[in-house]
Amino acid sequence: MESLLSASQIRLRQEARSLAESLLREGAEGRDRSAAFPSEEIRALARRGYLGMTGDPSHGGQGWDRLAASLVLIELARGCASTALVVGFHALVVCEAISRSASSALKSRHLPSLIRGESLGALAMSDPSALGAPPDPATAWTEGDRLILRGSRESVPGATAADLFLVYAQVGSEQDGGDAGVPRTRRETTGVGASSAADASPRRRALLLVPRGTPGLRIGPGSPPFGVRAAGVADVRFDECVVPSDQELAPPGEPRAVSGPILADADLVVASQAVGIAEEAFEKAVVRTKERDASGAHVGSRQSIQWKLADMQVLLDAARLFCLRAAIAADRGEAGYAREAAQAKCFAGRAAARIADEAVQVFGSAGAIADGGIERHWRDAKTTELNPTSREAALLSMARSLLGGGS
Amino acid sequence: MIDPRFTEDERMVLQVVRDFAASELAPIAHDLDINAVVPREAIAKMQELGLFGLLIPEAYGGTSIRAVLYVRVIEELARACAGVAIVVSVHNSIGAQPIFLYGTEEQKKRFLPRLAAREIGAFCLSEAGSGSDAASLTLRAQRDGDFWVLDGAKLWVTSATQAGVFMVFARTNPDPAAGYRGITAFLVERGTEGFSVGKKEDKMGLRASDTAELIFDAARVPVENQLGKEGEGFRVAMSSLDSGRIGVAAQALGIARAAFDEALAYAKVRRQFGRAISEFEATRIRLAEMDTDIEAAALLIHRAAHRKDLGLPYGPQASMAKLFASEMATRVTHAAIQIHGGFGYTKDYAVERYYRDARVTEIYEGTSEMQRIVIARSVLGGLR
Repeated sequence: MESLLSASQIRLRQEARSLAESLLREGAEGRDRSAAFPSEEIRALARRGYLGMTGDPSHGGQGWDRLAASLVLIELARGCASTALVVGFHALVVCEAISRSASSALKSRHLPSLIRGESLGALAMSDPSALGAPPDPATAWTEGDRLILRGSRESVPGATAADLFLVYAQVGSEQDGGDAGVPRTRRETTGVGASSAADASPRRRALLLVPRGTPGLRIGPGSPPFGVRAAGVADVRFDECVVPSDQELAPPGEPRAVSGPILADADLVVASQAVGIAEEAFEKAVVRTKERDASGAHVGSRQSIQWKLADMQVLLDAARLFCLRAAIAADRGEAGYAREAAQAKCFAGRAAARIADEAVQVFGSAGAIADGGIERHWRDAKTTELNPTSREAALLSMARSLLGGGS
Repeated sequence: MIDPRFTEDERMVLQVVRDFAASELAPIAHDLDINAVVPREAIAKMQELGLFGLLIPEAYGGTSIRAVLYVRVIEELARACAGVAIVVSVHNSIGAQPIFLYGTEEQKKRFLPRLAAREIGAFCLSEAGSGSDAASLTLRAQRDGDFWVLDGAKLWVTSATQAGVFMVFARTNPDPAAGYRGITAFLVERGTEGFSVGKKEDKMGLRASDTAELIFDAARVPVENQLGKEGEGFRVAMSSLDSGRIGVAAQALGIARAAFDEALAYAKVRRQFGRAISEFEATRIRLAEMDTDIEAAALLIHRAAHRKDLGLPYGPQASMAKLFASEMATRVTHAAIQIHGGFGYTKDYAVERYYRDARVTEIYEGTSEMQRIVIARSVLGGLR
């Protein structure tokens, strides 16, 4: 794997590894227990430029490619999965979406402070009913030079601390309250990508930037999830939230052209996060196998344990390779990036859940104890199968590229 | 590793192999399987195309292609006919290549041009009583002047009835304390006095390749046919298998890709409940999972091959590729039959053959259990 990396990528990974060790790892357990957002840690990462890791240097960003960013996120996730998730969505999803498709006025309004980490961005993507379905947009309609946003997003990472929300919305006319006129069932059968010809009102998909403090924007409370508990996850509601029209990112156009790149980057973030969690759980399991059991034999001398380690290692390596491949596809500007990122996320999420599960098993009943140092990874790993969309949703999007059609 | 950027020449090699597989192998694969026939004509054509000298340097008549391309060649052949693919894989990786790696200059000159052009190589390690525990093999070799005299039998030898050169691992030091250090490799030629082919196996899959027992009854092998030093045969065998395992992994990948293609095509045309089954979410998710499973194997295989090309150690990586790819092939071919329903259980559909062909990839050139031992050892390092 090393042979594919440039000297600077290897250096960046090494720096991130040291930083994860000195800054994140020690407090991760405590933040998890108290569901405390890593504000201090993120400020420290911001001072070192991590919040603008892929950002354009002209706006103060680091200009790293996706491969470097993925390697760095893996290392951060080893230290703290919650921090990696928040920083990843902020840098690779929110900042990148703005860089890609905001007007220059909007860029200069938001990018410099986001890149410096003075403000934090979050992705409000998942729909409460989204299991197995592609992300459903919130609904919005135009009133003069304002957009009125209605709906809710569930379990938004970073929500409790974010200053700016990137929201995927469907903009319709006032009368139908965005898309309220379209029966839910038809939307399901035609899918997000299909526009409903039967509906006369012009509707389009849009990405909106909604700053904290916008009238009608309600954050939380929502109970913290069982994993990534320090990630500031909360529900976000838009109660006829009033957003100035100029807060919309530029290219409306083809629906998937709007959500596609966002999802691809979000998938890469979660895939990298999953690999980091899996690595951490795996290494702890390996350390454990070198200890001695009650009979005095090494835990790892048993075939039942060796088998697990072998299978964990294979899954981990394949997950890493998927991440690497997706990141390289992004850096080369390949059209297949979205599909490869979805595949990476599916595989890495599943792999992380299985690896963490077996890691707990290697520890035996000690693995189930809250301060045993391993069960957090088990909980964190599972969230990568739900985030940014469910594994089933990602599989169905892959099936669409294999088979066409479908929802 | 991720996306081996092939040169124009390499692309051409792959295209030639693809065309050959599609036009010459795919159409006969079904009959070869039913009748358990080795396709001698097709093999002769592959010899003409240079497919039997892929890991032999040009100086000895081969083409010595990169491993990242080699695995693609095996994959393409396996996609059409897995039985033929294993003949090519065994020949190149554990038949011919060890002679280049461990042979004397005289042996290379004597054997490699023949193997690159017209003779098939065989690898003879397993015996009735020694499979995974290869170091316990008992085939005996005793020195008699300028000859080694071999007595015993080998099992599961791929291409046994077709091969011209057999790499045979024999015990030259009977002291039990010598263990694997008492094993030496020999190159045995067809026609050697006292050497014959025994029972041909009636196999579940890969029926286009023949697998048989070999019998050594005071077979006299000239001392100049000893490969490597005395007592180093086990090392020759194990390091050869690292390369062989990448080939088997690529073979499994090819079988899985073929099964996936069939399943995908069938799901689009098979209609139930008024629509194509490819419209049902369960089918769609299953196909996407199969695709992901296949790609994971492809990534692991290319990583191992890439490391081999760079001259880095690649044993554990080859084991990971083989372990994952072979088990993946079983999962994917199993799912392909499920998507075909009852039709997939008949010989009218190729998925039935793929399922049988895939199974042995979890067994030969090191069972999945042995791969896990190799991998666990690399994880645990100096434990114990």
